This record gives sequence, C-alpha cells and structure tokens, in this order.
Amino acid sequence: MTLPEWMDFGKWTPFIWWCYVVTAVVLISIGILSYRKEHRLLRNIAQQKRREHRGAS
Amino acid sequence: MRHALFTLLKRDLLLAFRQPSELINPLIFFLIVVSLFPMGLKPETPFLPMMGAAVIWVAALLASMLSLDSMFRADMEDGSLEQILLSPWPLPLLALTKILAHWLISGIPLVVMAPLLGLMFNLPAEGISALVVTLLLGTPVLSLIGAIGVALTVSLRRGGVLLSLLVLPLYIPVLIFGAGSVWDASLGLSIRGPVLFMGAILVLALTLAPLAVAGALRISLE
Amino acid sequence: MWVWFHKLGSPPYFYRLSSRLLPWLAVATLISFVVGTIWGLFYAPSDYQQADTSRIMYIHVPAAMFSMSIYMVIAAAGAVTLIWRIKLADLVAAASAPIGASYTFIALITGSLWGRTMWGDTYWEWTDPRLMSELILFFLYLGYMALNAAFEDRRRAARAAAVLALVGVVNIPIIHYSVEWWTSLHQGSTTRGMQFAATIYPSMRYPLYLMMLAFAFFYAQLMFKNTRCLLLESERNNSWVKEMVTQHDAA
Repeated sequence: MTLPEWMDFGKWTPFIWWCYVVTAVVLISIGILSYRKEHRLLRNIAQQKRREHRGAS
Repeated sequence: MRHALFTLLKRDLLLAFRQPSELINPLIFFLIVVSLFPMGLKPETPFLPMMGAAVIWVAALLASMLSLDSMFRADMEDGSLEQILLSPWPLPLLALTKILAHWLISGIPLVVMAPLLGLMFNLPAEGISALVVTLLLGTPVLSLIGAIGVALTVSLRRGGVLLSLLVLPLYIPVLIFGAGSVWDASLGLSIRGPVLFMGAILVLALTLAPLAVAGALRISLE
Repeated sequence: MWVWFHKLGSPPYFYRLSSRLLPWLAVATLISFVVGTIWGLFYAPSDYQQADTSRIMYIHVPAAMFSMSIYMVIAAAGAVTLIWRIKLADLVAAASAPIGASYTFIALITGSLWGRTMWGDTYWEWTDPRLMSELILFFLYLGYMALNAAFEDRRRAARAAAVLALVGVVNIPIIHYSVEWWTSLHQGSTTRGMQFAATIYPSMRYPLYLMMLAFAFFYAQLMFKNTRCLLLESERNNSWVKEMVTQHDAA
C-alpha cells in the first residue's frame, strides 16, 4: 500500500507534523481550560445563590 | 533638599557598615560561584578566557541580586520606608539615593574584587581592564533595575525567588554587553561600541528606573 | 468615543457584549484555522530551497507575531490601569498573559523544530537572535504571571504587574538589539530560515494571512473568555452577576 503523498513522512520530515501537533495541543488545552473555568464559576455562583435563598426563606 | 538626600545616603551606608556580614556575604557568594565553575569541568579542559568573562559576569549578576533584598526590606519592616514616602522630598530622588547607597555597598566591592578573579582565569591585561570598566558601568544598572523588582515585591512575605524571576531577564542586555566586551578586549579588539552602548543603558536606567521604583513603592505600601 | 469607552469599562455591559461576540468569534476562529491549515499544508506551494519545511511558517510566524503584540496589549492595558484605574483594563491584561505565554511557547517549539531541519543536528541554536529574543519574552511573560499570582489583593496585583509590564516594554527593544549584537559577534551559521518570511511568495502569503487571522481570532476569543472568568470571580457578590446567573439558570 502506498501512502498518499501528503502523509509521506520522508518527504515532509516529521518535524512539520510535530509543530502542528504541539500547536493544536497547546491551543486546544488552554481553550478547554478557560471554557470549563467559566462554566464551573457560573455553576458555583448559582449554587451559592440558591443556598442564600434557602437560608433567607 | 541636598541635605535630606545626603542624610539618607549616610544613614544607609552607616547601617550597612554596622552589619558587615550583609556586606561581605554577597562577596563570598561571588567568590564561591566563580570558583565552582572550573570545578564542574575536567581539570585538563583548557579554560577559555571567554568562559572566564561569562562566569565572572554571571556571578556578579547573582551576587548583586542576592543583596537586593536588603535595599527596602528592613526599612519596610521598621516603618522607616513609610516615613520616606511621606517626606516632602520627591520620592524618585530619594529612591535614587537609596539605590546609590546599595551600589556603593554591593557594586563597588564587586568591581574591586573582579581583577583578582580575572587573574585566576588567566584573562589578559586588556581583558581585565575591560572587565573593570564594564563592571563599573554595568553594576549601577543592575542596582537600578533590581530596585524596581524589590520595590514591587517588598510587601510580599516571600519575594526572594519571585524577585529573581522578575529581575534576571531584564539583566540580560547588561550581561551580553559586559561579557561580550571582555571577550573582545581579550582578543585585542576595540570595545568602544559595547562600552558606549552600556553607557547609554546606564543613562536610560538612571532616568527611568527611579520613577518606576517610586511608583512601585507607592503601590506596595498603599 | 469617550462614552463608549466608559460604557465598555462597565462590567455588566462588557459581559453582555462578550456574550454576543463569543459565538461569532468561535465560528471565525474555527473556519480560519481549518481553511488556513489545509491551504497551508496541502495547497500552498513549497519553497524551492526549504521544500516542505517552510510549511511550519504558517504557525510559527503568526504565533511569534502575536506573542509580541499580546505583550504590547498587556502593557497598554497596564498603562490604562495605572492612569485611569479602569478595573476592566487590568482584567484584560491578566487574561491575556497566559495566552501570550502559550503563543510564545508555540513560537519557541516550532522555531526550534524548524531550526532542526534548517541548521542540521541541533534543536536549539543559540546564535539565532529571534529565537533568543522570543525566549527572553517567554521569561518576561512568566515573571509577569508570577507577580500577578503572588498578591492576594487583586487591585494591588494589577498595579504592580502593570508597572512590571511597562518596564518590560521599555526593555524589549534593548534586549532585542543586545541579542542581535551578541549573535552578530558570535555568528556561525546564517539564519536564513527565519528571515525567509520577509521575502515570501504571493501564493504563500494568503494562507499565512489566514492563519494570522486565526491566531488573532483565537486570542480575542480566549481573552474575552478569561476576562469573563476574572470578572465573575471578582464581582460574584454583585447584583448584576446574580441576576445574570438566574437568567442563565432559567435558560
């Protein structure tokens, strides 16, 4: 089986792939981190509010 | 005004001389670090003068950084720093005076000791004179830039490692020009360019750093 | 203009505005990244001298470019914090720092891998001034973030970090020139690989522009997201946050 030309590591050298992989990993992980952080914060504040509400009534 | 600055300078110097260990310890540190580097090499490795220049400069950087903490810390703890802030004299000038005192205490001894270490590393005579000149121009810059870092971290209980993180990257230009011109001089090249550049950096630091230190002190003590 | 500026400085307004902007930014980021990557990797021609290695450029150049621009954003926001004491400016600066540090990291890794193929057997070439400047910029980012994290009081952290960012900005050109002088002194190999971006063929320029847009959109998006997080953290007891959370719960 012959690889398609663009998957041929010998031609492209693995370094290009590594560059794109590292970039993708870094960007996706900081992206996920901040999206999850906001989600958690909102849930946290909502919980706190409900607790205060219960305490007041 | 001149009187106030002079009094402050005299007070800082007097305080330093009352506690000679704070004065001497950074120097001993300087000496030890410089002599550690050759021990990391095999005895038969030819020790290049270029490496000597780099080692002495890096050790001077570290020693001057170690002594930085004493610049504002004690004054902060006994409250005299607040008095300085409240005084009617312009804060940048007072900060500059304190920096000058720090340089006289920590920078000058390094400059005096450097030729000795240069001899240990077999630097040629031109290299040693270049070392003295560049240290003379460079160590005030180290004190000035370092003062900004200390002023920013003085209110933190453990500012030591943080201080080195903040200050060391900013020291890099001084290191490059300092060690570079010693190396050039050892090869018999002219070092006018880098020395002039270091002078320019010194003038820039002299004008801007006191302002930054004053701002940082105000933030730290508000 | 000034009214708008002040309106933008108000946290609830900023929060609502960013809620409206974020989905669009997400779409723009995704499209530009996907199209730019495919275009750059598969359709753009390869450089006649560097062959396909030049394809690293499509991520290296935008990352390096924005790593510096983001530091400028931080310094500008720091100046605004110090002068007008607008709280939002400080949050924007604090939110930008981790993104800028990540871009710097990407630029360093891709630069050294690019160098690996260009210079031969070394991953790290000390004689390349751009790589060195980028490394020092990375240190500056780390110092900035460390100082920001060291204070418990958010407002004091903001102003101390702002002073540091401004000092760093004054230093960046000095560092750059000193590194350049240093490398020209010790120069062994030429660094064609990095200078190549300046003389680039038109057919490679468009995917590069697209990737730059992608990095910019990504930055804007995460900056908004991080700023919102910091806002929520510092204003969690204010009425507008509570109202918004109720709406969020209902939806």
